[in-house]
Amino acid sequence: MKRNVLVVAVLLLTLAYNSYASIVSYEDFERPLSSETGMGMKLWGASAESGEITDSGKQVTVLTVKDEAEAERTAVQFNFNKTKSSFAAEVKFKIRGTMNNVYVSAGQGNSTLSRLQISKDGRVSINDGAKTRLFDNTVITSGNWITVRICYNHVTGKADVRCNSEILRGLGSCGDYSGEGIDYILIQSGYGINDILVDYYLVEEGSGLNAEVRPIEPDYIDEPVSHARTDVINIKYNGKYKFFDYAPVMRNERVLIPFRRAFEMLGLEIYYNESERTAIGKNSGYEVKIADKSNVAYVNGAEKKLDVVPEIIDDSFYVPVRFVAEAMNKKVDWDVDERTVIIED
Amino acid sequence: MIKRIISLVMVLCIVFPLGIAFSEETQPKWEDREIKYDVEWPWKPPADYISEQNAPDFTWPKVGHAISYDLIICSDNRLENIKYEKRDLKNNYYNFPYTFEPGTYWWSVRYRCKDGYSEWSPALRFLLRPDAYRFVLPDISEALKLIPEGHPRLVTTGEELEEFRKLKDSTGYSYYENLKNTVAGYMAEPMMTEPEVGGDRNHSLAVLNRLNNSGILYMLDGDPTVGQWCAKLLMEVVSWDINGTTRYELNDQCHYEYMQGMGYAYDYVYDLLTPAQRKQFCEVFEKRLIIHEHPTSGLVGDSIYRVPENPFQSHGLTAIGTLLPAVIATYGDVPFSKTFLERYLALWSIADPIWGWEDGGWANGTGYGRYGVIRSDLLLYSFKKLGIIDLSNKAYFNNLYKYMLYFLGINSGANFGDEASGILENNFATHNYVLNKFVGNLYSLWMNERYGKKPNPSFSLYFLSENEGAKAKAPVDLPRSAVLKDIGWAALHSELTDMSNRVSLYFKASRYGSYNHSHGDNNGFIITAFDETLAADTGYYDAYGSNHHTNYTETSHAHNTITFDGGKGTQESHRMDENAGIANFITHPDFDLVGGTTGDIYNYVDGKLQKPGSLKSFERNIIYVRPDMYLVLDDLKKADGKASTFEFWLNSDKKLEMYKSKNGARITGEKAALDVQVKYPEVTGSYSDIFSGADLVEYTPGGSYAGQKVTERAWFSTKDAYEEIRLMTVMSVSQKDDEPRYTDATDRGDYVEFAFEDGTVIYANKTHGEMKCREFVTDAAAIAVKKKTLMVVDATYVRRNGETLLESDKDISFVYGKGELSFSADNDASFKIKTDEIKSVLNEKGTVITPGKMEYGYNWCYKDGYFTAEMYKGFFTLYLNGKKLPGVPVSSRKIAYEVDSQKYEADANTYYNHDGELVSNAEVTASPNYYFIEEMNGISLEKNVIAGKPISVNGIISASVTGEKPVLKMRSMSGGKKLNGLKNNNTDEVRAKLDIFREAELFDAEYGSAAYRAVAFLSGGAALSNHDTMDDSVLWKIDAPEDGEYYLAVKYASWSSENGKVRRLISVNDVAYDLILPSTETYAQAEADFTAAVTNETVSLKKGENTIILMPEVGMMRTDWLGFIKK
Repeated sequence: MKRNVLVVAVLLLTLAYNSYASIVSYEDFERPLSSETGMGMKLWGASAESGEITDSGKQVTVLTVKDEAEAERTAVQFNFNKTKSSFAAEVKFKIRGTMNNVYVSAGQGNSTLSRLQISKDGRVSINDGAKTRLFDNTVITSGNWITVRICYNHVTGKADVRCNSEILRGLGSCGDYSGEGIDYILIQSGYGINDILVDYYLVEEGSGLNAEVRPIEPDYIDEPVSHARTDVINIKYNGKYKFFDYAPVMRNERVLIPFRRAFEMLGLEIYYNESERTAIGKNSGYEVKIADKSNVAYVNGAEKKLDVVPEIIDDSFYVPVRFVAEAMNKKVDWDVDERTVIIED
Repeated sequence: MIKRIISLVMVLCIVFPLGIAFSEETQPKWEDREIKYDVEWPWKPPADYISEQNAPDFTWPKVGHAISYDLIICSDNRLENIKYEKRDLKNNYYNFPYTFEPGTYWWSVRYRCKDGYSEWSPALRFLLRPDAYRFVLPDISEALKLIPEGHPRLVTTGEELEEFRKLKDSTGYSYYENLKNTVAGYMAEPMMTEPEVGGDRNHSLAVLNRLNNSGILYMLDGDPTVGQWCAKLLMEVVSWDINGTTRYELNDQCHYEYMQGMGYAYDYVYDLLTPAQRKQFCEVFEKRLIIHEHPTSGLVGDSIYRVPENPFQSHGLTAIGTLLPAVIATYGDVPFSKTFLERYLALWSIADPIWGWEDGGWANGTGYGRYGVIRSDLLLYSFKKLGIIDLSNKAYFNNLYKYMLYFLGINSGANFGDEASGILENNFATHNYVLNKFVGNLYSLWMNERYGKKPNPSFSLYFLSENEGAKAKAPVDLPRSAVLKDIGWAALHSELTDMSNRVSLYFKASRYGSYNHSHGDNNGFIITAFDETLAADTGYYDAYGSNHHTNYTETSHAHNTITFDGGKGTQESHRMDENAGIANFITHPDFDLVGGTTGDIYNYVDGKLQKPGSLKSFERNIIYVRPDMYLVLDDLKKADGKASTFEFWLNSDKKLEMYKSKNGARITGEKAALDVQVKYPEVTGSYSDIFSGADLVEYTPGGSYAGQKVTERAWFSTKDAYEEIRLMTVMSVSQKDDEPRYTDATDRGDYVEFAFEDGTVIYANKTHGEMKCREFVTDAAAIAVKKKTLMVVDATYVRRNGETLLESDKDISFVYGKGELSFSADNDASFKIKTDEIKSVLNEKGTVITPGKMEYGYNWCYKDGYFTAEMYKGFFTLYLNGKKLPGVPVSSRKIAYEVDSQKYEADANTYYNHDGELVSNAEVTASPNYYFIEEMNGISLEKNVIAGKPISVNGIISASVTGEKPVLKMRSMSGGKKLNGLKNNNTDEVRAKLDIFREAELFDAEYGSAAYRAVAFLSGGAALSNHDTMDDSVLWKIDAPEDGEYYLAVKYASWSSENGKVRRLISVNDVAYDLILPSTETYAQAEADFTAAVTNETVSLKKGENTIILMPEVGMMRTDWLGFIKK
């Protein structure tokens, strides 16, 4: 039986690294590899043959390893310089062929510190020396990408291990970390698994590392803000442009706006007497009363003279905005360039 | 005597079994049936259906142990008053050979088994509209008698052969010339042989095309050489081992393609076959047909004989439709062909398309729709021609234009489903022609002409030239938005008649759910603007069931819908759900509304439906604030008592940037931008630029899709968990460089007040209880106000300042204003709406709706200041008090335009558009020629032409005028300097002299159906081919080494010339020349057929980039290369 190990390069996701951590070792595999490249990769019982194009979207060249030794397992191991005591080791890979057991280990020298097991049924567990713990919500299937991240905190002496998006926290070690760090990551499979395709592996060291899924960051922009329009007369109240279904109009250099939106904007409750064609706006402090085609209005009962008369346009009752706003002691200004009435409390 | 009476009663009980013969416990029940394949035949018409076909198609689930069925159609829901019936049916589908009286009916069916008669199925109501399309299904045994005994019979009959042949001299000229060339190519190749390896569809399609094309050509011109070649290939295929490499087992699709080709050729060249050959053919064809109908190896599960159990057998049902013409061709000669037709002709006529129904839709998506409609075209033609069944009377074919008109675009459209682009491509353009010629649809032809689309130049088009279709008509009189109620798709357009500049939202809430080639995108939307996709349906169809397809494309994460619990609560793949569908649809000049519900599709665990499941309901309503803003309301209710976070998904194939507030994002394309912001409740955004869900596990596409563009997505998760919540999201489209639209949202306790830039205010209710918003008190989900237009969403009451505006016994939605009233409900309702006095009502087709009648689904009157009505579940739009319908001519005017600086005027019909503006349609005349559009303003022309682009005019151009003072200036292009080509058969010698060389097939742009074809012996291995029709053009951008005069040189082969010449119009940097080449009178099948020619006159080139456009005028040619020689 022949089994192959394929090492595949897929672009490493854009990652945001913690500022205290540094990368010890990282490889994505965008070039032909061979067991003689001296890049710190060891292929068990295998010889190398490159050239296959994978089904990855990255059009990468991959390494095909023929298992001429008929070894029981297909495996790939990454070696690197020993880390300091706190580290995070991450590898993304997939397997092809009939599901069987797969082990992902990290360790130092001949000792294994963390060992994660994927069983035939796709369930994932990890042995921390004392007991085995199951990832409850993670199921692996042949052909899908798997990401494993082991993050050891030398202060607590515990590791958090993530498989895809699920994290088991506070795991012990099946070996002895004791400040020695790690110098290899090993993926090995049981019978039936023809290929192991590795996207990348990554080792970091330093403080503040965690096992969380690293967010992929988008570009950020400001959200839309209200702005002046060039095709209408604008009304800006307390810094925000207000919108009108019946557009403001200019009469005798005075801006009129529909009374309903005007009163609502200024916090007045609306009353409209259809027969008298009179609009009334009220709140706890003010009562403004304006009638159609009348140059007299009433503010808190006092008669006021209008320099432009209200009128009904397109069935909507328009009132002079400056008058109403000033009646409520608002500050009113006019921006000629933006054709904007500016009202401030 | 007593014994005789008892015996008689027993006999009567056997012959006429009575309900009283059974107790309730022993009577067979419908739920006793075994559902073999997870899905079964649907109940059609479904409950509370408004049918547009008279008589409707009836289907119901098959009961395995049933001996027969009784179908009754009654005028009452207690099934006491039977109006129409059919007893002792052997199949679970039926349509009547006569039409019904329009009206409301209830239908039911029972089955008979060895235990007696079952109970009647629950009565299902349907309304048959007075304007329903009248379709009858004749008795099949009678229909088969109409098949002629002789041959040919499929495309034409012996009697009509002479008329058929005349086509090549008139409307079929171009087709005939192309066909001759194609067949000459076949005949120059070695005869095809039995494949060494099976299952290769390239081989089976090649056989099919060769047999079909050569057979058609033989019928067209009677050339015995061609006919004998076709007969020889036919007998070669007949000789192939039916248990060999062409056997069914290896590939069912190859098998039916071989059979298609055999059946067609048998019919076309029948007169050239000897009796022994005919006998040999019939024996082989019958064996293959029997195997294909009921295979015992290979694709057994999804095959023809199982379709009666489950019509959703996609290969099986497809095979029936594909084989029917070949079976008709062999009817009377092959005994099993008669059996096949008796078994499947009625089934196909009723069941197809199983992915849609009366509404003309194709739920499997626009990707597979393009293949399905082509198959329907062939049957439509053959059946109609022979008079067997006139499928063009079916509601499906009459409504099918909507699928293309509303859901396709030029470069963007409704790309729901596998392999879908939503683009008006050649297959759809072909179908547009078919609908025009055989169903009489005006809009389908307009679509092709307006956008310069041509039919697919495939073998199936011989019939297109057969009769004149109806004249094209712009869809100015159709609603701008449409819903296809059967498949649950809706399209909301800012403008229907201008695909290039409109804003469109496509929405899906379908009972077909995620089944087959559909995805987990119910209640999902797509937004396009200025003909580019912004909010996208993402994921590739690299292969059915691939990692990428299964774990990304089919999932809800790839679509613009909702998930819960951090992306874990998603829609199940491959599920239909009869409770999913469009729940609201309203269209109006100010506001549209579309709403959908998803049924139980979120409630599967390990493939099993859970009751009650975790999600009780997900209802999405989208209020469209015309022309470019939206408010999305997502009502989500958990069923398991556990609070969940919910995620709003936004996918894009353009650049996606997230707001710093993380509650929204902007998608920016080349021309337009879409802003999306969740305003309520508080959310936080996440992002992925890999093919992943929220877990960021990536599933990259493979095969030919490896390396395809990676799309981006954001999802906005509620910060808190809820058992029930209404998400409120604002979306707006703006031109790319414009300031993005701003919508103000103010939380006012019970509700959120949205203020839009156009002055529209929407009050959106946070709960399902009462909200007091400004002057309104209501239980509505939302109220929208713009000037005097009021829209209410899902309410039973609305009061304004104490006055009742709406009172209804069930939730309804409506919009009232501008002389229109549109209302919508997902259930029957009785309601009254406060309106001005209403004296008359028209529906959207201009039909007068009489008060007090339920003919169209609502029974209205005007009473005490209220429009008062009872309505059936559905969506209705009314024009009130004589309001002019859009598109109906109201006056005429003169439109001025210029051709070659001469002033002309055209008469124009003027009508109101949907916004109440007067617009005009005119026919601009100009002598047949090519023209450059020098200036164009306030006017648009067919063929999607723009200023600066050439247009061919064949006498008349349709123009749509929107401006008050339209400007149109055209300049004729040809008739300029003549470039006569001088032949030089030494092509290498000419090529060696070239200062500029370009492979003709390497053009930079094409318009129309220009294409290259691989031709191994030519330079670059290909030629510019199929470039012979006016309107087609190709464009090259070439670099010249220096300014100067250059001779043009081409290597080409040509035929079908005029006086031994082929003519082309060639534009060099906008200067037009007539290129006249001596014809080679060869079919470009060999290197020796090609020659070179160098022009006698020069053209001016400038140093650097030059634009060359080539347009066909007369004759057909293939071009290997072109070049220039400096003078």
